[in-house]
Amino acid sequence: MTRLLGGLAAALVIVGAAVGPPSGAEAGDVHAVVNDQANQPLEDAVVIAVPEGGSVTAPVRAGREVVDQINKEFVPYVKPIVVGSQVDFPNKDNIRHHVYSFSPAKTFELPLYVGTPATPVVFDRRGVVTIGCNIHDWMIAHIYVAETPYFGKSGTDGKVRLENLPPGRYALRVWHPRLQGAEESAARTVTVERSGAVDVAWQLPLKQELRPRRSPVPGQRIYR
Amino acid sequence: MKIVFAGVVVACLLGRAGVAGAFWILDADASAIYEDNVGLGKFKRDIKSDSAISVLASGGPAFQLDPSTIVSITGDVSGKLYERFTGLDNAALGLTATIRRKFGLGAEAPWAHAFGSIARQQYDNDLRDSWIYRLGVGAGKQFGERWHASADYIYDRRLADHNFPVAPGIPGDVFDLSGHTLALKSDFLLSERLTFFGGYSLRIGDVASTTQRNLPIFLASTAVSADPAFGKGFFAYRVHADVHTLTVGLSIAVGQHSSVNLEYDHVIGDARGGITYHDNLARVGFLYRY
Repeated sequence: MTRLLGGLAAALVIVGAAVGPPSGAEAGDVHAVVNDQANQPLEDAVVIAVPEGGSVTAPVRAGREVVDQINKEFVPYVKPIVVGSQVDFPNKDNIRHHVYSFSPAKTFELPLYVGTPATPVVFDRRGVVTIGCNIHDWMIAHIYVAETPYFGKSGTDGKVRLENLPPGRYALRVWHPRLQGAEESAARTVTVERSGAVDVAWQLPLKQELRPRRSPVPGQRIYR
Repeated sequence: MKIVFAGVVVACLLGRAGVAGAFWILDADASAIYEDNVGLGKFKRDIKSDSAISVLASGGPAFQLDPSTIVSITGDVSGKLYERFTGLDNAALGLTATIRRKFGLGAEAPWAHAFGSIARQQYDNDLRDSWIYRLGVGAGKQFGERWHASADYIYDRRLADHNFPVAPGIPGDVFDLSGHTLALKSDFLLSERLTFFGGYSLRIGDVASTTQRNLPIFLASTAVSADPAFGKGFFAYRVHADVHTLTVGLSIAVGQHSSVNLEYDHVIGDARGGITYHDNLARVGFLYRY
């Protein structure tokens, strides 16, 4: 009986995941534009829409995601995922990497490896997880773990489109690795109608990007 | 030639053995240098300036022994061409072995290394031809996002090929030198592409200073030889000295693998007998790292 109920629950989860967010007449969009303080389009900004006050029931669809290591860099540099997602960290270089994170939202270590570790890392808490490689200190990436399935990342044009959101009120947040101050400080509230799009624009104050430099500095050596 | 051959053999054997975690490393540098006292003279009449082009390439296999330890064996090739004093033109071939260990996880974990090198240096002027051996240990650490600091101790020994005495009872192997160096280095990230670097080093040991006939330096010297690289009437003297070097520079990142570097060194040599010399070096270089 227990097995039967377990199987039924699993089937419901799969069906729920397959259904996903609504589409068509019962859904609206958010069109966001994120610029820096010089009003230039900002790449790698994450825009998150969180349903407010239970007005919308968000189907959380945790999936399996990938952050690659290619040419001694993490790809992508910023990866938004939903809480509960599993992430693989395949090493596509012909040298070994050693991936780790000290972030409170997820502390983990994948000691020196080639190929893809057998077990993915599960990100089960909301927050920003900064990952690094212990061999190549310049290798840094950020995984944004969102509590909602409604998120997107800006491309080089600074644009993010969140599509097929159920109608209702949403708190919109924006985050970037160089964001100055807390992401809540730039939060907005919007109402998504049954159709059409809500336009939102941000001009974010950014701090300098400071991380160990990959390009050589005289006298400073990486491997010796 | 033997050094290069040995290096190639070692690299090939290790490569063929398919040692786990092996990869290749390469550093290459090309610089233009201006130096205002190449002979390390004290008096105005002996102070000679010159410009030089310097190139350096250092590459070979590195082996990740465990999550914290890397061993590398590199072949090192360098050369320097002077504009005026062509007798100082030189080329060097060498091998360097290094073991480096990081103590902990993350960019701010401290590290330590030990290294040894052997190099053959050949000059246009025979007096300076020599073998150079170096042994060193050091440690460093990243502090926060911007600072990196390191300290090294290095013992160097230079064995000159030739002994050309000019005075009875006084050796002529001026370029038979040894010394102990303590070097402190630091760099500070000014922006994403710009790094300020600086350092101080103290070397206690022998130096070779070239001057015209000079009684105080003659009395303080432990070897003397004629030095045709600077012309007739110039002599190289080996003296014991404390050499202080202050370095400041700016490194500009050019892409992920290269940088353009501006560097200034001020050198003060305090030798026995109250002999003090100053030397200023300005360098503009392009550094590539794979």
